[in-house]
Amino acid sequence: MNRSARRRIHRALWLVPLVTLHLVLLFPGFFAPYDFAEQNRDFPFRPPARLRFVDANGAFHLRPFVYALKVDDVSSVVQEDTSRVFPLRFFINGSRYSVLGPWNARLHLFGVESPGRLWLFGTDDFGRDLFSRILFGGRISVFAGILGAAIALLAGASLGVIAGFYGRGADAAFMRLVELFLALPWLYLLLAVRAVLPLRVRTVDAFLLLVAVTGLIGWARPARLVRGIVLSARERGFVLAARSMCASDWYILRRHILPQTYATLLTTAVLLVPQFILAEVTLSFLGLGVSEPIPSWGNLLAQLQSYRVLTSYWWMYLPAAILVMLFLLYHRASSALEKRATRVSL
Amino acid sequence: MVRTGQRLLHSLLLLAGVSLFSFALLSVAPGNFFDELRLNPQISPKTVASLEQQYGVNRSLPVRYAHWLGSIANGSLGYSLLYRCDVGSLVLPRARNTLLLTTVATLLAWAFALVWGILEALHRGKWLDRLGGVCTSLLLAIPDLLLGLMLLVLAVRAGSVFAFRAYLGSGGTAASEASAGLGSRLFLPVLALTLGILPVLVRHVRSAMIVALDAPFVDAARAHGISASRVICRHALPAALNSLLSLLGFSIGGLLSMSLITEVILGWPGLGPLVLEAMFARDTYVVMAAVMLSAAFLIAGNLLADILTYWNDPRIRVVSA
Amino acid sequence: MRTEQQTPSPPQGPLLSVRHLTLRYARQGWLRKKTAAVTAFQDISLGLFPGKVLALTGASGSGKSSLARCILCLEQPESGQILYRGQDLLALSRAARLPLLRDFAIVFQDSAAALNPAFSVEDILAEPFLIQQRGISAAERRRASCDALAQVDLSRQILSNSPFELSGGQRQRVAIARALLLHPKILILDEALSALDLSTQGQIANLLLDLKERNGLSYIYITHDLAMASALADDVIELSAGRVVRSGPAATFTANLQAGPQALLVRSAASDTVPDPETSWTSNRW
Repeated sequence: MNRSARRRIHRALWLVPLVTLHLVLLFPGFFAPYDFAEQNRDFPFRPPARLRFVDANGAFHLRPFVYALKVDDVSSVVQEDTSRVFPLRFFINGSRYSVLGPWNARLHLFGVESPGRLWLFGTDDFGRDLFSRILFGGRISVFAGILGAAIALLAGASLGVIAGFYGRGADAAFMRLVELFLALPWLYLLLAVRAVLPLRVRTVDAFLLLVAVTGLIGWARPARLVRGIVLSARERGFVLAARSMCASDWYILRRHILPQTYATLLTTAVLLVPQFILAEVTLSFLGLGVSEPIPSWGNLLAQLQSYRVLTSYWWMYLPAAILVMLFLLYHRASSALEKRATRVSL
Repeated sequence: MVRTGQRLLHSLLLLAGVSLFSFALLSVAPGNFFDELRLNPQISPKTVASLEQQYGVNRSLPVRYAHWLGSIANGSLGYSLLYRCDVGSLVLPRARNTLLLTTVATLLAWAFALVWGILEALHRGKWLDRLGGVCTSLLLAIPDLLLGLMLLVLAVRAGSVFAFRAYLGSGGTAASEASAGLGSRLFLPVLALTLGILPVLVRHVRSAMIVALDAPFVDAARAHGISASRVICRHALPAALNSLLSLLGFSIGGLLSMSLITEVILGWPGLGPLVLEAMFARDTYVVMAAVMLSAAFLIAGNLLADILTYWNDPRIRVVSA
Repeated sequence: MRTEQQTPSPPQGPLLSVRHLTLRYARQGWLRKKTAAVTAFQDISLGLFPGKVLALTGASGSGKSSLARCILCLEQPESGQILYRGQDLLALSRAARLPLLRDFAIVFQDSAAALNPAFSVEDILAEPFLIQQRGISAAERRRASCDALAQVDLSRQILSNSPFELSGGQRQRVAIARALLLHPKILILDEALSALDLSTQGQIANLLLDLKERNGLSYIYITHDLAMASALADDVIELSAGRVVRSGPAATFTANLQAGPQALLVRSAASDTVPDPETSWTSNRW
């Protein structure tokens, strides 16, 4: 493999964690050892499990293991029960989860046999496994963001194309509408649109609601960008040439103008998705999005508003760490796309 | 001059459009303030109905809008059902608090961003620039939400939680509330907000400075033998600052709206927590007033950005001279 | 002066006849006062005869390109007629016009702009078929493209290239090939040679004359290059500020170039210095 190919692969390495993260979040049931609602009331706010290699007798185990936890009857102190080891197992059967709709499965990537518990990131106040909740919550937050961005882009691009291509009245009305939406501060508009919908929604509808709300907010900027591209593409020589061959409007849009917008749409998409994920997280944090017991990164972070949690249980910050990591990856993606765009357009 | 007048008119029209839009939006919202009262079995439906009548909740949309416009004229900005007072007396002090916070944060952020951005541009590609780039990327990836929470954690660990806890207990609006205490109360929110605004500003300053330094006139100045520092200060810097004028306008535009989350998390008595409460209670006029005020700032900021860039363009000055 | 009166009339009438065509652009801004309409051209009449080349000359801004676009029905003129095969193109509906407009093709000045840089030459040559939706299979399209390329002296290997990999001359040949694909009868050359260097101009000009003979085409050649105009064309029409100021056969045309606004163009083309508009224009104002 020559040097330039190696360098290109090296530059694209950041794609791997990004794609892997999305795949993992798409199938949280498989990658998480427990269900997000599974409570263990005896063990609230447990710190992350300690995977050990050496047991109480001094024996070395090749497979890492955990001890089960037991509550001491007298002192109510939670202790590890060193009598039995629970080794880490892969492809273990556990709680039932649904895979994309009606199909159910029980296979989990890793876990330990009960009554052992593998709480990789500890538990929350109801004794629910935080790692599993982060994965399930991530599915809601991230894909609400992605779907919301898709809707915003679709709506924005369609309107932008119509305004840019047909001009005159449609364009004037479009620009006034865009200015109206852009004149409202983002968060206030989000709250206002959210306020239009019922305050308390069923958890099933909450996801769709979030997607719709964020989609409605974010269409204006992409629409304006697309309109600009269409306006300038409309005047290009090859469009005039196609018109001279009696091409229909639809042909010109499809073959010549729309392909010019794809690059910008991609860069905008990569910029929008983190913003929309943040919108979902903010709404859920404020109690206006997904609510208990369905986890979302927003309502996981909302627990940090309690003084006790904030000071004593450091593992409850972990959703924040994952969120920041995801945003870093997205920013890396957008700056890479930007660099590619400036290199290609000569 | 004509153009400025045109832009002003355009902005006023936009503001009117925003008011119509948000009023319509909020009126479409299902349920009103009295839903909670209705749920209460101790209050008879007749009482609720008469209350609704008294507050004019059941009047038609255009009538309510006209009344609300009238209330803007006399400064009351509508009536808050939750707090039972004029919205103006509720919203304006809170808006002042928010502006205090955001103005300090914006000034600090700009000062720091100018220094840091110019330094980065001058040492392009070297370790200073790279380190700055990493810090900027990291800060950019951390949303305001998390910044507020992180600083809260750090403050708690550092033991200064007592300052802001005591502050949470008080209403936070009385001016007599010791300005010495104000400093310590301001510290956390300002820090959170400044760190939030900083990365974008630094990036813009850096790229503006780089573009200015790469411009041909800088090469020409150096070729004339002008010293490097003089070239930077008298030639490149003004050019870079010119292109940052519109960013300044947008910064000013965001003064009322940038701090909502920070205020909610760090307990600053600004517009943010008020809007949230009002939203939950369906206290329409409070939300309207807050939305209008922040939209007004945003529109004014855009207008300012537009005017600043336009008036600063030397071509315009030559023509009108 | 009308062309029909000056030349010995050929056996048949004109292939394309333009009568009293006028085009105006109205400009009006939102919230701004109405500005006066801009006249692109006024009361233009011309006739194109089969197998002949009609040259349209004039300074830039004299309305030549707008006229070409009007003929192709890309712009709607204010008044006038465009008669082709006995029918007024402007009076027909878009659907009725389509079969007639198939006989027209245009080659533009800037071939780099007229060919989509994201397409390959093969895609570019497939466009006329795709637009007209003739239901021709891909294999037949390819064959027709290769034939067209052969006509313009390009090898079929060029099919996989993209336009910016070609030289200016090659690009213009591709544009001409594209124009010829649907076997038009009238080819409009809108400053088609102006962007090429002199030697390439000569080559393409010869190619165009060849193609005219072989395929029985008629050309409308729009140019500001008088030498080329008189070399290539049979008849010349001169436009100035949107009006016809002179028309006649090419031979008689060159002889009359000493007076009028064309004199300015001739002298600046002939000498190295640019004549001062103030002194030379007034003395030659017609």
